[in-house]
Amino acid sequence: MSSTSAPAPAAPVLDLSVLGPRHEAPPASPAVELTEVAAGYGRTRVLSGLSLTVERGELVGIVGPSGSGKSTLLRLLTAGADLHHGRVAVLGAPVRRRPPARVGYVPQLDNVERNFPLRVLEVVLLGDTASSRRLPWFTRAERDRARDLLDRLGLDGLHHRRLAELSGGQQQRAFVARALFRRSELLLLDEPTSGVDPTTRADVLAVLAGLHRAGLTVLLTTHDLNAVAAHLPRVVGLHGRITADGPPGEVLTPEVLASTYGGRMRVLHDRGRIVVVDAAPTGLGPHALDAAPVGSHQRVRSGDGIAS
Amino acid sequence: MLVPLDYAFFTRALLAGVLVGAMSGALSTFVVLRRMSYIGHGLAHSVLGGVAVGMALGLDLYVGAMVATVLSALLIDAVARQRGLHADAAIGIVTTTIFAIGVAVIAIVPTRLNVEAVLFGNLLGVDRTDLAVAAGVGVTFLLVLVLLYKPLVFTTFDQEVARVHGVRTRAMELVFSLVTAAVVVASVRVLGVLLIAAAVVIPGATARLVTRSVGTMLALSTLLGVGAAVAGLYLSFHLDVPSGPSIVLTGALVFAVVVLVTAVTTRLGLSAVRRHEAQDPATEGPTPSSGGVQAADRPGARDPVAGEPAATDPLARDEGAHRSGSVPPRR
Repeated sequence: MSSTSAPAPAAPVLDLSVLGPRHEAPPASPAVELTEVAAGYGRTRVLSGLSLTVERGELVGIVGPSGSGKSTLLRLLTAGADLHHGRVAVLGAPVRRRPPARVGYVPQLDNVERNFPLRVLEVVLLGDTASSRRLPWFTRAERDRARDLLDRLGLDGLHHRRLAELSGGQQQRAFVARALFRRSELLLLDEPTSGVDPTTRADVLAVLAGLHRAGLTVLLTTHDLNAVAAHLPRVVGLHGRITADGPPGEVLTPEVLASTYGGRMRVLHDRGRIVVVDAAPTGLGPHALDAAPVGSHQRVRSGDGIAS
Repeated sequence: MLVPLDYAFFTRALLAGVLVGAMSGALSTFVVLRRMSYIGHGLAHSVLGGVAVGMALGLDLYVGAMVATVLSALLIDAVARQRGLHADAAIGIVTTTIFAIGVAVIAIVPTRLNVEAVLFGNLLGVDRTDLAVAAGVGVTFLLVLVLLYKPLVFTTFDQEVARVHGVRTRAMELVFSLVTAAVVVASVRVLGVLLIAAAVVIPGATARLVTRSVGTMLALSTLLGVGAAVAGLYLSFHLDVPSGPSIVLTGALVFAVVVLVTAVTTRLGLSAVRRHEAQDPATEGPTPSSGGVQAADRPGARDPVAGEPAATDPLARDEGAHRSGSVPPRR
């Protein structure tokens, strides 16, 4: 929470033509549409009064404390949570008992069995199991498509490595490739920056920004507010309900963060960058930076910038 | 070596053993990867309950066993879905309950049941019905593997992502449970209920130590299962011990040898790396994260640990051919 966000690297536009035909123009229906939703597991309610629209081609980050319902929201979009009330539609179709088609899912790295005996190419190929033929092996066309996708995501030369032999960032890229392999139009990522080093985090977010520029809709959950501030154009605060929704500058304010996280946080601005730090002692003492309140924010006057 | 084959009972036992060894070996790949070693143990205990109740009712051994194991598999699936309970608790509750019913029935109702044969397997007892059951279950299992290999592997690897990506993961779980139940039942005569659990774990665990892909692991664990069954049956014949223990001990011996060999190989490899580093500290080999193409990435390259070809998995079947262009495209 107290680390600063790395400068956002320029995100190249990824050529996703390998995925096959896509919509030429954004269709009228939003990618995600939640209307007055209450949801949870069994009788336990996790989300309530939730209305959210994500248009096609958007890159949106969901932030909130542990237990705020971020993962439940993703499960709700994939028919993995119980809808108590309201309406959920993904890519124009209501979500009922079956997960919607053309949605790719990237799990938290911590939840993946990384020693599982699979090679990177096989991991990607499994992503389209549902529409692959029944026989135990994949077609040459499928292999070529998976290889192209891996190459485009910077994993050329690693097709035959085992998952365990890849770095955290490479593993995330492999899982993004698997999610895209089913010709997904909506990508859901559960805390893609969790448990990775700052370089990997920037790498993963740059990949997502590239996908966004290529026209894909990306919805991710994260605890990493500074990465959100640096890389995402839209942020949704969640704490059982939506606490804020808008650009990082509007959502990452002390008031909104207090209502989302239930604790005080400091928001610093440095040459256009937003940095969120804990209100508790941070190690950034008076000698490290000189902050003066500017409205509800604080502007940093340190000539050296912040925590570089 | 060939003397036992002069006896019809041994030939039948050998055929059944090969089938049971192949099935339990193949199944063990998924049991090990799913970390569900306890399932074989539990379902095997259910068999005794089913056999006892079935025979008390005058039914065939297989009828009672099949009903009990399928019932167990379904109940385990249902109980495990209760929030807050995991599969191990469900297995423990369901299967020991059915086992307890069987023990109670044996104590109360006089039957012709040879308890020792059911517990430890009986080479002499393999008849045509046992062979037919083993063959039927084997064909069914093979069909399941061929038709559902990809969704089974995806579900085993990452159930949540598989579900979101359109795989019917609940159905896969159910299929896996039913196949496990069927293999356990088919193995009763040769292995005995107390030793089936080992047979559906040891081959997969051994193969896991020396393979790097699911397909290779599946092939190797099947071969190991067959090998242990054949060797174990010969040992059973010559040493006059029940077939179940001799098969399981053979598999366990192979496992122990592989553990030892891999430990020594790993140690030798580490020593070689250290020697290399000491001789030329400036030289830094490619690391997994360096992004360079290593020997293991080349089609047909051999696994430095296992010595297996890099692309023997059905999932990777076309790989070498694709790169070399030596095989026409699969249609």
